Amino acid sequence: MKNYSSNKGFVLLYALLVASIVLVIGLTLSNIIVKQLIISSISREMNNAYYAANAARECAQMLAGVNDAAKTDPGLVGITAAVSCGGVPAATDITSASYSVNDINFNNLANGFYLEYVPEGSGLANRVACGQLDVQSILHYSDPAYDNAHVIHARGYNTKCLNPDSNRRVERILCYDFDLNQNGDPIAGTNPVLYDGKCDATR
Amino acid sequence: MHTNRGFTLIETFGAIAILIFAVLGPLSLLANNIADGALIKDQLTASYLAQEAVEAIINIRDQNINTEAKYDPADTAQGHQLGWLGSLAGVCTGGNVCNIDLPVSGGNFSVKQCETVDDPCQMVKEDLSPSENEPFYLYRSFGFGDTPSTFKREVKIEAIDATPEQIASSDVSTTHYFWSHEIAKVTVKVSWKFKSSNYNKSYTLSTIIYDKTAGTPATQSLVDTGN
Repeated sequence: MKNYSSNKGFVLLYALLVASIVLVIGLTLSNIIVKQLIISSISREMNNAYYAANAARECAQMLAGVNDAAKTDPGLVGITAAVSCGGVPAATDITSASYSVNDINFNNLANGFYLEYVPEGSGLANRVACGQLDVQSILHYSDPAYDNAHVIHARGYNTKCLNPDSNRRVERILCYDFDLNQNGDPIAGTNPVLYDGKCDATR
Repeated sequence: MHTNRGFTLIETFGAIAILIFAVLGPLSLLANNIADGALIKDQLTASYLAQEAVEAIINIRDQNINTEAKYDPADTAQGHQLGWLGSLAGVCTGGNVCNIDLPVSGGNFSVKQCETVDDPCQMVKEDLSPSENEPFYLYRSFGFGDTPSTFKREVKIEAIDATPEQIASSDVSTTHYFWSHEIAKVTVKVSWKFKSSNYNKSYTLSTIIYDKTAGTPATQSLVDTGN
């Protein structure tokens, strides 16, 4: 009769135990490393998103100063038609829906516009930064104390504008608040004046 | 006779081999991690160097706009473009690559086109103990006993030269010129040598800047044609 209560099989048990422990440690480490790589890349992507938002903010400021309609029309009528943010060569029809020049793609939309550019020069077309600005995001309202006040919300992304589902998408929003008098001149000096650091339509 | 008692020599060697691999794997990961720490330090330095250059360019642009840079209709030779980019025009534009030194002791930004010989755009690391007015990394031609750093910084500006455009104003007595679509794409690339004699790592930052003088009342009155 065989003795089934012997120690046979324990070597296999130990081996499996050790193997599983090593596997768990290895998986945990690789998980940590992958997470660290993602986190470290986010800080880089944040910079790209920030400077995309910066481009959109600059454009909004330029439009607010440039667009004649902006001085009298609270709705900034003509923001997508008369003047644009994409760097239009002289021969281009600036009212066209989209055009591209020097790696910068510009698109007029019904409710605003966006501009996209390749951050790392040509040849890396899959890496695109997006600056976006809605007409609604430039809030223009009258305040007896501050004449015409503007609030600009400029959004920047590290991805294409029409790629909202990317799980690596980083968004930075810049708020800029400045006042123009009734002639369209910036109040108090030659530069737009930051108001209280608020980024809010209702004061 | 106990034939299966304990481990055989083969089994022991096998077990030791497995354990050695199990220990060496994580250890090498750890070693890599430490090396990556040095890389991250370089990357951080590179990202700040890139930001510094971008902000310097924005600052130079703002200074130009505040001082003058008005459009002159008589200037047909792209003069309007030179105005707002100021000292950057020609040096950093038109395919040229430049580098920028921060102001030293209250001076101005120094914009230099990268030399075409040797190691263009390489920056020096200041050996002297930096006083509070002196930047730590400078473009190499600054000189005085500094050692070359592992970093180089290349600044490129792609300006889009557009013809000023006439837009009918709400004030019907005048025609206004706008050069609002005058923009430039700024690209700053910082590369560095990481465990290599070549510039094998790089960090690039870019943004778009606008000529914001375009619609200011001063500019408008200057370019009124009076038709």
